[in-house]
Amino acid sequence: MAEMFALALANLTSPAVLFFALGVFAGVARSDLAVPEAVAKGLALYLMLAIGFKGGVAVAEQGLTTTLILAALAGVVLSFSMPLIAFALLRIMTSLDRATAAASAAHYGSISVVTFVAGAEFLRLSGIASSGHMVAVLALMETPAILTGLLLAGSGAAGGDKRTRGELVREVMLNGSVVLLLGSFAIGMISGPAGMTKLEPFVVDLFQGVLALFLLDMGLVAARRLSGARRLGLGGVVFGLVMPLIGAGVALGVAVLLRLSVGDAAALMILSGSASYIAVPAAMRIALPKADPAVYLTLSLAITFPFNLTLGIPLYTALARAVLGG
Amino acid sequence: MARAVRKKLIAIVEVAHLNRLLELLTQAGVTGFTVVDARAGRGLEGEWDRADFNDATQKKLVHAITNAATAERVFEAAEPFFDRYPGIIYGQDVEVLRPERF
Repeated sequence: MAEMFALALANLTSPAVLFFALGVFAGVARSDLAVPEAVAKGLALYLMLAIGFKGGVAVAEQGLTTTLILAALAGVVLSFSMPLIAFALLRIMTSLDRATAAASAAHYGSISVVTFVAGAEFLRLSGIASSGHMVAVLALMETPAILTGLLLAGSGAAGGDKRTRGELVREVMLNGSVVLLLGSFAIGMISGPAGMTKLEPFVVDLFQGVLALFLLDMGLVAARRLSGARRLGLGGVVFGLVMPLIGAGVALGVAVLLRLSVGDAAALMILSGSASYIAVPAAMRIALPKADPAVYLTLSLAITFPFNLTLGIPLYTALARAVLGG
Repeated sequence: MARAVRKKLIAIVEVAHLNRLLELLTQAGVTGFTVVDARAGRGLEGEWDRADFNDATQKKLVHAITNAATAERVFEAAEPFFDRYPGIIYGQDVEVLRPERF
């Protein structure tokens, strides 16, 4: 318990989390502080490049192991199945229409890259770094939930016609962040440790600073989104806090079954507990235009993301340690 | 001095559905249009801002000037379109030079 408290405190006083809080404060106080749009997009590109590359180098060092394949399978299954739980809960806890509930549920099966990045840094600083291949698991978990979400939406989905399907496949497979993340992963795997010595000052030394600046922007965005919380009602807000715990809990069970290391288990919990706010919203605007974006963006950006960043990550880490030892 | 009158159509549409709308306009016979980035706004689906670093809810403004018959065809085709996708379209009479262009 004391250890859990220490972990939580260490996380809350980390520059990344404090910069996020600063962003939220500035947003709520209506300061004119803003990260220029192009800079924010550039920072996001940097984060994708850095984590993809680092993950690829790590896999080049370790080689393809059965643990990787098992973790990848687990990630895909989690991504497919979490929206089912999320959808059932949303239908019970809120009065959202079917399309909006299905779209929101899809967000919870998919993952948030920034939550993962912050979590991976936290794990590394706690001395239980997750394997590099968890980046591959992250990439694999992004999409399956979208399919489940569309199935849950049933006839509400616009996915019926061929053109929408084409647009959707393109968005899911070829959107910029996916291409950069997977491309950087492949480049990391090909260039290996030798490549790492060349890029280290860029992708490692600068990383914490860029993450802090990016989280400042996330704080500003989350604060803007908070105004939508009223639309969710109490049930929606509670869902946004409970669903990550369920996602992480199920992931912990899976990690125990697969005998993952503590670091990988915690990383899988962070992935499963996080909710997408870039890839899935874009797909949902194409396939489920009738679903209310204010609901799912507020849920994932203004409720679940801050929860995971501040309390979720240390909590999942402590639980993984308690259950798996280490 | 009396000038020729044509219809100006203005549509606000989400990025994901922009190409469909442009095709709808072209099919109805609109010969030219201009697409403008929208910066921020509020509608039935809450507030949105370009700075949200999330392209999903970004909006575009489409301006087109055309003759009355084409505008009518656009409105007819736009009804099912905006039934399905978020956004609005409206028209107004405008004075133009060189009316044969529209």
